Amino acid sequence: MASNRVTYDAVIVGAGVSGSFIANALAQAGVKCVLLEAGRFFTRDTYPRKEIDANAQLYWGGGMELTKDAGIGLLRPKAVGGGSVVNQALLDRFDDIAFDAWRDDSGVEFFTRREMDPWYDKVAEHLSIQTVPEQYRNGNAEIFRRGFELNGYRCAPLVRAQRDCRYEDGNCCIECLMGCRIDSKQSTPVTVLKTAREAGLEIVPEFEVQRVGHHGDTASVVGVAADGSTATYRGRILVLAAGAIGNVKLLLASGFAAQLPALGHHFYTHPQYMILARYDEPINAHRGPMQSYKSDDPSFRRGGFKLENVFAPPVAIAMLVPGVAGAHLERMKRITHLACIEVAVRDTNPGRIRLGRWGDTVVEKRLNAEDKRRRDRGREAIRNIFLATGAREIIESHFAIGLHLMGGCRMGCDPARSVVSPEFHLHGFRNIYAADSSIFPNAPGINPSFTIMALSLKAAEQILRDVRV
Amino acid sequence: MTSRYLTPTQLAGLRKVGDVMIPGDGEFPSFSASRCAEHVDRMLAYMSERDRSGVRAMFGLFRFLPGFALRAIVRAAGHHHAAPAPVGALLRRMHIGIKGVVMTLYYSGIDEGGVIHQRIGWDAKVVDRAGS
Repeated sequence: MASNRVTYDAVIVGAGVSGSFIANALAQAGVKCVLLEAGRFFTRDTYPRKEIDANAQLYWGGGMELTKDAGIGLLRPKAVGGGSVVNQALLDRFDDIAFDAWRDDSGVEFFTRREMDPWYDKVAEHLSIQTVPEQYRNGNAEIFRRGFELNGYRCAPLVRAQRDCRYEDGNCCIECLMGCRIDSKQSTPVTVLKTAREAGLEIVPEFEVQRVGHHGDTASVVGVAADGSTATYRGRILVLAAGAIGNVKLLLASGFAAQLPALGHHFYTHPQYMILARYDEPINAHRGPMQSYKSDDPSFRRGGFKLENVFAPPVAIAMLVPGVAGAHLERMKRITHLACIEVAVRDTNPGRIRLGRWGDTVVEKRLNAEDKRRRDRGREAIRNIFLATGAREIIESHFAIGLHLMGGCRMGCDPARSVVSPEFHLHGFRNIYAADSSIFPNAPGINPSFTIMALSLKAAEQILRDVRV
Repeated sequence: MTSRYLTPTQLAGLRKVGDVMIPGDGEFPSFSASRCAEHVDRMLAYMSERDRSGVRAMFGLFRFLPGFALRAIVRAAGHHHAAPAPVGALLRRMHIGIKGVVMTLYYSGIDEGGVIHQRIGWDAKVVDRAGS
């Protein structure tokens, strides 16, 4: 496995959504690539089946990492396929509001729907994309839909990357938060990584990259394999696809801070708050499609938040339910009577990722007054929905979750205020690229997966153009 | 039972705080009676050494705290949101740490007899090719 003498055309760090899409595009073009991933390479037959194992084995930090003041729990996937293995595969194109804000912040002209739509279309060629069928919506989704209707809010069905979930068999997509055991969810191991491997891509799982180096026309990475051995991979180009925290940590640890003053700044998370409500009748929010609807209300969008019907397995629900002992247990006994809606805040207050005293990652991220106002407006809308639909009790959690980890290497034209150029390479380093969520200039307020995929295909085209010069 | 990561004293501290959080009732076993603490290494193996050290220190201390003090700590940690910034951050870390370990062990469906999921009505399933 040690590859000290092997030189690749491209070394890609991180086998999440971005790394997978770029790897496939390059491999299909005949570029000799290696894809390095710290997590394991699971398959439908090996995904963990218990929540304890899924949390421990599919995420960094053994389940969750915390911001410096522990105000936000950060969920950072760690597996070949990254977020596409553990997320709900929701696909949304960004709207003009998101792209306008990106363009204003970055000066990058291609941040428009017109420029990006062809890239979304190209992504769609690789995936089976379906609207979650409304006839299979569960009780939780029905409360969401009815609550929206009763309050005069607008909602829309969710669009998901899935092939055949076979809801008629009673399948419950909540189980797929631990990896889809029927390969319906279009995670990258069953889509682009499959074709990339057929085209010659080499994947090295359980290899944690610790340093990256730039040597003029080449780049290198040094890391540790599962057996504890150290290896170096060299390439003409290096693609950083380890996510916001992973990319920033690597670059800081490798001494890039002096040349990239914006490195680690402008970090966003779309802080999410899950609000529960108890009903007299069973809701069975865990059955069938886990999510069916999202808010589609212009006032919500203007207000900087969005709502989705959502649920979680028992451990996560137990974490959200306040209290201990008898009161907590009584609520957990009624878990099938609980409904849940989350508010995700389009956060305006940028956070910062830096290295701590022991070389660990420290994430400073808080909500400012505007972010709290957005959160509270979302909570108010959720309360209105639950009250209108006959909830007996509303259970509010103070715990924020960060699933969409964005920024830290943001794209822009100004090297003083950004890290990645509009050509997807680091400012001043023409053969080190990034196209994952770390390059987001600010928080879009929309599920990021589809746009990460689209940007990655656009980046791959740029890389191919550059390497062939 | 033995653990690769916790001493018998620390394991006793885990069971003690687990019983404060989940004392059980006629229908549901207490945390210690569920014997789910036996699986704690499945979590600890994947934590960073720094986090593991914190967990070890906490459970070691809990073993020797009187019950009322332990209940007060758990209660205070649960009210982290009402505390001023530096204290709030400390309480939140404790709250997430304690609750995270206890609830993960109790509600993961690894308890003796697998009764907890059954009794809360958790029947989420995916039917795979073999029909299992």
